[in-house]
Amino acid sequence: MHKTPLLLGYGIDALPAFPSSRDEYERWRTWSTSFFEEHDEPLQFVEFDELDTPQRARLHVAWRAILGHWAQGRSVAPDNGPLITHHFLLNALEAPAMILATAASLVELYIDSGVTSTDALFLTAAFAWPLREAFPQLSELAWEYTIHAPWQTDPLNLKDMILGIDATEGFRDGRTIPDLIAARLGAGARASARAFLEGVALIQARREKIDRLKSYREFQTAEQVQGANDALIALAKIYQEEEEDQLHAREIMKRAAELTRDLELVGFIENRTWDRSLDEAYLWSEHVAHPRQLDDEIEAALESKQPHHARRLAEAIMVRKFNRLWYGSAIENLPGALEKFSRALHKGPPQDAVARRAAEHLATLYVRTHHTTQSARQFVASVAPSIAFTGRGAALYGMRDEFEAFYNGSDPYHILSRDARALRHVAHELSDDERAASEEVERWFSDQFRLERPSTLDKLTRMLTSPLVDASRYLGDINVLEEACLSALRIMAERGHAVAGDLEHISQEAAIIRSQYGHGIKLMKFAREVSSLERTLAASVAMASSFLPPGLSLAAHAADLGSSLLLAFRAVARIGAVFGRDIHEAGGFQFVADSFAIGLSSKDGEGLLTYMNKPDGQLVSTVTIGAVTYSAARLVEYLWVAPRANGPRPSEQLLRHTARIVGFELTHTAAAKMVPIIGAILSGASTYHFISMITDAAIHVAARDALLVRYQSYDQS
Amino acid sequence: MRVTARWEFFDAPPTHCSNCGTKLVPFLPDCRRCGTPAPARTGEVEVPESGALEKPTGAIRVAHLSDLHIGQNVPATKLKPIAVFRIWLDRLLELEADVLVISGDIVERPGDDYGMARAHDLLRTSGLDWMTVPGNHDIKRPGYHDVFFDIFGNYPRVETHHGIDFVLFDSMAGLPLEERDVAERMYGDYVCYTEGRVGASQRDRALELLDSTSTRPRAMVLHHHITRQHADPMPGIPKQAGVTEDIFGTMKSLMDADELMVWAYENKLQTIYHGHKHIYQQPGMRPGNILILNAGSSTLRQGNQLGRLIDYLPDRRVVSNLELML
Repeated sequence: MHKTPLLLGYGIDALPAFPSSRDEYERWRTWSTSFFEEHDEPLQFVEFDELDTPQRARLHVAWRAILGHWAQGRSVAPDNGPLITHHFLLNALEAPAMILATAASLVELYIDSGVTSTDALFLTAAFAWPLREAFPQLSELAWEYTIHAPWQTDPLNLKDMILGIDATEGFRDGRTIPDLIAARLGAGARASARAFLEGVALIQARREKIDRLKSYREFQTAEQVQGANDALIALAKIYQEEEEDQLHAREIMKRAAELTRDLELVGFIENRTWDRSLDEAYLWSEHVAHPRQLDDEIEAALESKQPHHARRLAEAIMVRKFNRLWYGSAIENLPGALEKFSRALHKGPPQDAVARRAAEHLATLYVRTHHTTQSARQFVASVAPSIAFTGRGAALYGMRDEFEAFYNGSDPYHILSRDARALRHVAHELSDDERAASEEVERWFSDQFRLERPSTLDKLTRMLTSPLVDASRYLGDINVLEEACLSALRIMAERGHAVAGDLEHISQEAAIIRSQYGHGIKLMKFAREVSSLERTLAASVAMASSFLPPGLSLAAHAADLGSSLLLAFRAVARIGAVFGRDIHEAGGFQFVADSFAIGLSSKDGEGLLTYMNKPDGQLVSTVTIGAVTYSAARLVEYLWVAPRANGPRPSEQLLRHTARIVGFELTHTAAAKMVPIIGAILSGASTYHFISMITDAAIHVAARDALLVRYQSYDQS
Repeated sequence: MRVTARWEFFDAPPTHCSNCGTKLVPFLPDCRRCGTPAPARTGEVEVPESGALEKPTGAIRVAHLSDLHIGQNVPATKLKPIAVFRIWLDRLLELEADVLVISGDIVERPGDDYGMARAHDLLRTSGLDWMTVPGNHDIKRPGYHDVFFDIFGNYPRVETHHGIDFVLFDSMAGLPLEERDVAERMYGDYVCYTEGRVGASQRDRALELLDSTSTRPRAMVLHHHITRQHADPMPGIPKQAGVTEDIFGTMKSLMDADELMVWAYENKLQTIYHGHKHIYQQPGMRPGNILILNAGSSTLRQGNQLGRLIDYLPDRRVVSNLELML
């Protein structure tokens, strides 16, 4: 029967309510402060068993509040629990008697109640290691509990625990890291042992996540905690026994082999099929001279249940054979390789036996691994109708149905093909101008949603702006601009007549063109003409706003965003008028939203997916997809010109680094002078480009819809 | 697919030594006084070399996935979350899972009804019984009506699957906007809200919905974690020391975790499924023999993906960590 301390002068029922809001955290803070003022020996003794679970929970919170008050004044919020006990672990040897007594009571409560949370782990560790001499009996119990309990934890928390114990020189005399591992393995707690060892590996490699470990060279030569190298060797052994196939395990094994010079381990590393990246597979592909080598490697990968590794092997061969890598990553060359293969296939199957075999494997693996990227879909679409690959007697003859299901069954890209087929079907009914327009629309939609492949200019821009890209990606997710876009569009819809201006003369002129040439190229050209002024005007406004003095620039950009949207809306309304679509009628606003969504969305098909699946009420999503991309791009521009009074601007830093690379130092003044100029150019060009993307989308969407109406009327007749 | 670790959690583990009557310390293998081995010890058990994935006879098999984040942009080296999710569903069917629990964050962008509809369609046609709760990435504005509820229904609610009562909570609904952190109020509408609280009204409503006469096992599903987990580096920000989620005061554990745990104990909810943080932790225990299961993210990990199987047997829950080998 335990005798356990209870709070002196406070019955459990008199304690504040369970903390569940910031106000209640404050009440607990007040309580713990007054408690410290009134008591220096706060504990009286009661029987643990006299308390039911809710009472224990209240007591637990009270003790957490006391420890939290001592631990840098942390509140009693549940989120602070592990931080408080970790503070105790680090400072246990300097803790005052009252805190020690409270912590001892709390750890007894944890153990008695069978708690295995992270806060319990740190507290238990404090008694098992640094307080071993001060509390020998409790320490023995804590040590055993540490070994056997199923801890709700992860390697990162264990890393904290190990560092905490090591800081107090606790790993010694039968309680070293190897002792704990041996005890856990002896108790059958293999996963716990592995997690603990991974915590050591994180310390030794100065990493936060084990799967981010890229190379064994990241491990420090000197042990960061006592027994770290032995721990790595033990971890490698566990990985070997569990036949781990991830790259971090391979690197840990390499480090262990380096430490032990164990030839058996080296052999294991060499012979194991690892889940390698495409770049590693690309290096391997240099040595593939016969299809049999590829077959063997892919068979081994599949036997090891690694179909995606097998896929990467085939992809690496395709890159090597069709779009060799000169610099950078093989991933960037993959879409180009697959496209070149598809183009070459029109002339005949590859003569290179290895390439042909790789294509066979790849088509199969794309389907079997549900690899539904756009380039994979196009690759499968090119292989599926090829007699050389899927004709009777060919290697992929039995896969034809799977190919078709893969291509058609998942995402609605095939709708575009269906439209194209429909238009070709009525081609003889269309005027020459309309046929040309039909081809132009098909090409545009196809280009718009191919996997993004950067041009040389894009690559150059990416190199220059790369330090900002990650920030813009993150901040691009911020819906503030997105919401601004949406609000602006709503207002425009409500007051659209005023924004769009007089469209009557455009409609009349377009009607004449339609009567002579139908919905053809000439109509599309006219639509471009009537929207060109808006594009130029938007670019000019954006450029001008960049020259405003710091302080006004931010406000100017908000206004600029609004004006850009306003002008884009006006342009789309004018284009709509050309094609006989009134944006104020039912479905007209949807046309505007589609133009924004498709024009500005990323080219991996998100915009198209939404466009093709637009039930009522989908408007918000349709608009937001486009606006996110828009806002991300505008943010890059903003970072170039945004004023920050304190400290250097990101854009300024970037300029300086670039200047340094080319051999001279820029002064602050020179950099500051250059920023607005470059910002203005970038701002103007990007705005022009973005408005063009929207108007181009509007023109092609309108043309496509008009042509499909022609098809439907023909079909019904 | 493989099992990487396994635990047995007994519903009513013995509390006293059968030999000397001394109170047993939970999880320790034997009586500390007389050394008599403790029968039916909760803890880690060995994973058999073959047949580890086989469903035990008479078991109800629950699969636990979380934080799918459908629609998140991932590097070209990784499969899209929707593709990983499809693979999960195929494999779980092969594993004879009876019920699938998804503890929130179905989609990446709040209000992405297209992503939700795709997920719903996959689940509907998966051949599994399933349930989900809203995550902070699913809801645009906590406490208000959301498209998520149109697709997946309202919360709290109680669903009974294969003889187990699951209490499903919206772990954002109990925290009104005005009580949220200043930072959240500034950008919550534009990114997403992250803090969570179940709240008394949801608990009371759930209690009304629970059949008080039932002896079925009970479980709770919610999105937010109930113990602090490590902060991730800020997504999208180049990795720098100290730039993590929690310096902005976000991604904290459930504000009323203490209260909820007591409520769970009083109402005999013996298992809690949650997600939110993407750190995959081992299963853990709380007072009153309550089992906590956190699945991390089941689609966004580098390399193999992680999930969990829970086999409900008459006297225990067998928890297996699952690795989906892509």
